[in-house]
Amino acid sequence: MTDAIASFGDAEPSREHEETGSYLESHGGGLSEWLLTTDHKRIAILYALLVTFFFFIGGTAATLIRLELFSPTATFLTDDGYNRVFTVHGIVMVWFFLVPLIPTTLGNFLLPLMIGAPDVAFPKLNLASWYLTLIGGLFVLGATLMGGVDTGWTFYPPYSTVYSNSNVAIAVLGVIIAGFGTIATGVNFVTTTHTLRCPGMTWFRLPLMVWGLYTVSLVMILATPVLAMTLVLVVADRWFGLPVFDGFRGGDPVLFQHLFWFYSHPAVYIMILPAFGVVSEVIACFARRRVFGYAAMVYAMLAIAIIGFAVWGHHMFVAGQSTFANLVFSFLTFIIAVPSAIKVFNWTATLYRGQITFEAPMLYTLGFVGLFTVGGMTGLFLASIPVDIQVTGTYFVIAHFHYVMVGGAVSAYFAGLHFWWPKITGRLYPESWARFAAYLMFFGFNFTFFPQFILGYLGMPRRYHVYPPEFHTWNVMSSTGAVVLAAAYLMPLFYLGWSLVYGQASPANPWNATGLEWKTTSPPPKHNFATMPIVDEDPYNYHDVRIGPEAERRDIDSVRAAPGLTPNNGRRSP
Amino acid sequence: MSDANRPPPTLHWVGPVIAWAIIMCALVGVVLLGVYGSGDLRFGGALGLAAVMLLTLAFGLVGVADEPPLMRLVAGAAFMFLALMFFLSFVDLVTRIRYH
Amino acid sequence: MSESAINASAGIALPDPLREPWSDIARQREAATFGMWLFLMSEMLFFGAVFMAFSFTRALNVAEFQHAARHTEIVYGAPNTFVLVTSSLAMTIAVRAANIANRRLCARLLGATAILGFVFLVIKGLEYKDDLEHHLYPTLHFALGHNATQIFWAFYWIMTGIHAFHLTVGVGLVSRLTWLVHRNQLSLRSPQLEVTSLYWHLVDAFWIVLFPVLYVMGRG
Repeated sequence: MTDAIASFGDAEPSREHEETGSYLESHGGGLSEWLLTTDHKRIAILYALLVTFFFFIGGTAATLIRLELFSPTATFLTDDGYNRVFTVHGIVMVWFFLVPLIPTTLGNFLLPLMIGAPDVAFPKLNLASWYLTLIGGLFVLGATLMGGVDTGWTFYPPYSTVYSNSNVAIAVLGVIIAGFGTIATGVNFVTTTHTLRCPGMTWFRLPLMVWGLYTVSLVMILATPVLAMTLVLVVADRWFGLPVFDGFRGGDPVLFQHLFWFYSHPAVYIMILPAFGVVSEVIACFARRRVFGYAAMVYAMLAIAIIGFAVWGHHMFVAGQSTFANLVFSFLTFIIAVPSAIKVFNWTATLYRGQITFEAPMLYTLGFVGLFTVGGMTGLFLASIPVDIQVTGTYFVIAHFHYVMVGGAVSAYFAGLHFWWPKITGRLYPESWARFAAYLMFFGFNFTFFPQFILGYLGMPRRYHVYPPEFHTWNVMSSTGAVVLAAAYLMPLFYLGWSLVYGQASPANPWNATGLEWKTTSPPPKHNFATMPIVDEDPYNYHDVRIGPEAERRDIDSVRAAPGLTPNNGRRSP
Repeated sequence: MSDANRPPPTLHWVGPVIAWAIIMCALVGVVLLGVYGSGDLRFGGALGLAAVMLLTLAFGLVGVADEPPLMRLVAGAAFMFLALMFFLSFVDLVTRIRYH
Repeated sequence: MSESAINASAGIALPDPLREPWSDIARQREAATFGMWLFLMSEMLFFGAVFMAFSFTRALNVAEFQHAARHTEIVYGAPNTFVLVTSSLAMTIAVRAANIANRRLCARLLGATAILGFVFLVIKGLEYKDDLEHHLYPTLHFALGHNATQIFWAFYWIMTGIHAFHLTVGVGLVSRLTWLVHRNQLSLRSPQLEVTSLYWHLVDAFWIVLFPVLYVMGRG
């Protein structure tokens, strides 16, 4: 075995032969060429289509909710109907949109490219996880079409196990199945990161996006099985009449909440960790700066991934958990704010003395930093027991987690989508439309969710569609904002779709960014790289580390002074 | 290839068989506890013997010690997160005020 | 290495175990084993969650759990532990036989593993039948009344049921490997052997914890 020394695929002649076309090029296999593909880039696109589909399902439910809340009285939904609508919104958005959002689309596409690998470690498993997500989603859609689920996305017993007259078990099964898809993705990504890095790509040369995907995969592997088992217990109670969570027979419904939040709090980090990765890439590129405190960023992500497992009890401050446990979980929750704050400060420090330009990905990213900070800070309010008891189950909580998940994770997704769109499709998107959408999304988001902080503080409970008239003004504001937000979300569908056909062809590196994914063609060939890349520099090598940004700045100032030259270092001018 | 000149490799079966025998002894112990033991002895003894069986399985049959450090880290991490789950849940349970 | 050389000289065309994106079987095996360990980590949390639920509920209902556990049948549980640990032994030596390219022994031991797994399932089935005859399924006609003893038995059915499901999958995988190895359709250097073996040991390990917890410890 003479080849035992080489790590993998040093560009055999046979392989180079088929490298001519892009991964998008058809080989005459029709639809099955896509549905049976094991190419991580095509699977990323399958995932993107799937999560976009679910985004519109969940978004439709959200629209119904906001329309209903325009008026303090019941308008077109019954009490029961309203329960079913917000449950669909929650289940679909959490498990079929936010959790798979960045890892399975951008992550699937970029992970092998960023570490210089031809594919993920287990390409067939990668496809299998897409099918598991699809089947799980079909279960949930089926449960919805058969009349819906009315438990809320959290499936709390004893309501979900004993009393609910809706299709709880089918939806729960869908979540379990999709969960195993998530685990498979996690196993795949961690193995890929460990075994397929190209020569010279050491752990501390990995782009932060890869670190984000790596840490999120660890959380997926460790947290998702607990949810699966918890939901198995719910199905057992529901279908087979078992009494695991039945208080009348000695069971403890609070136990369900312990198990459920052992998954579902880390799930928040499943949503946000890859977003951290995207944001770090984009900020470094459009500030032309090395990421400030790279190692601290890595350790902060690892710390968030681990400590994230020890804070779940803050969801249960009023659930009957002991006072002492409340204090413990409150303390631990304050601790996890530290690594999150390190990240925000480091992004800010990366901007400092950078040559910032405001292309669409940067606008989305700056939006992320602001909205995530608001979401994170209000998280500290909620970690504090007295405040939390006051606002438990109110719109304050709703606003808080939408700031983190929608303002945070979804903004980061759009940042990444625009940033890597030229790489994924080989086309440039129309910049001014994208900037307009970014501004509109930021405005619409705050318009929708900021009034909810006030509503919650004033005492409006979540999950009610009939409310006292004193809340009317704020709800109208929020619902109007939702209309703006919906328009902002629809816009990329049109201008990105337009660019697929009419967009200018993209060069290999339209942003003049660092990273291996920009070293191959746009779109990349099937096996990613014509020859095996070799890495011999630190990540984010935007300026010489010894010279520092000061010299670069003088450089750029002289460029600015010279007439006829664009200030952004020869990148595509806006 | 120089491999062909090597003497035929031998099957190392003694280690696993010894591990199997240890687990069997522990199993007999557990059964005896189940039939004759009582109270805390049965509780602690069964738990201890289960740990012995598990460790023997891991080191004798799976050969965890021969695996690369990374695999051992993975196995250890699972226990760490399990411990976290048990510990923090029981923090709630044992500090609850019981009204009956 | 020897096996492919031997097979090549004997004129047997084995399918190449190498898969994309790998160009080196040693590296591929390493990755497959690592991936399996990660899955095992996930599975440990999966079973760990139900053990946590069991311990938590038991701590709330110690007396009822003790009472309920007296009705489990150690007569089934103990032999089943014996069967399963022995199957793990067979599996271990089967992988070692594959590593020294002894295809015949490997196939036989894999076959023994699958059969022992099947025997376990049969014994478990007999035990289930017995339990049902004693009305130990926690519904209306439950033998021990409307109290927390039902939860012990709920856990009994859930935990053993999930274990049996895992074992059934394992028996299927090992049977397939037995057939492929026996029919010369699988290279002994394929990562599948090692990976399946890890899974099998894991399922065995769960039973090793389940047995004292359900059959012995609950009584104390």
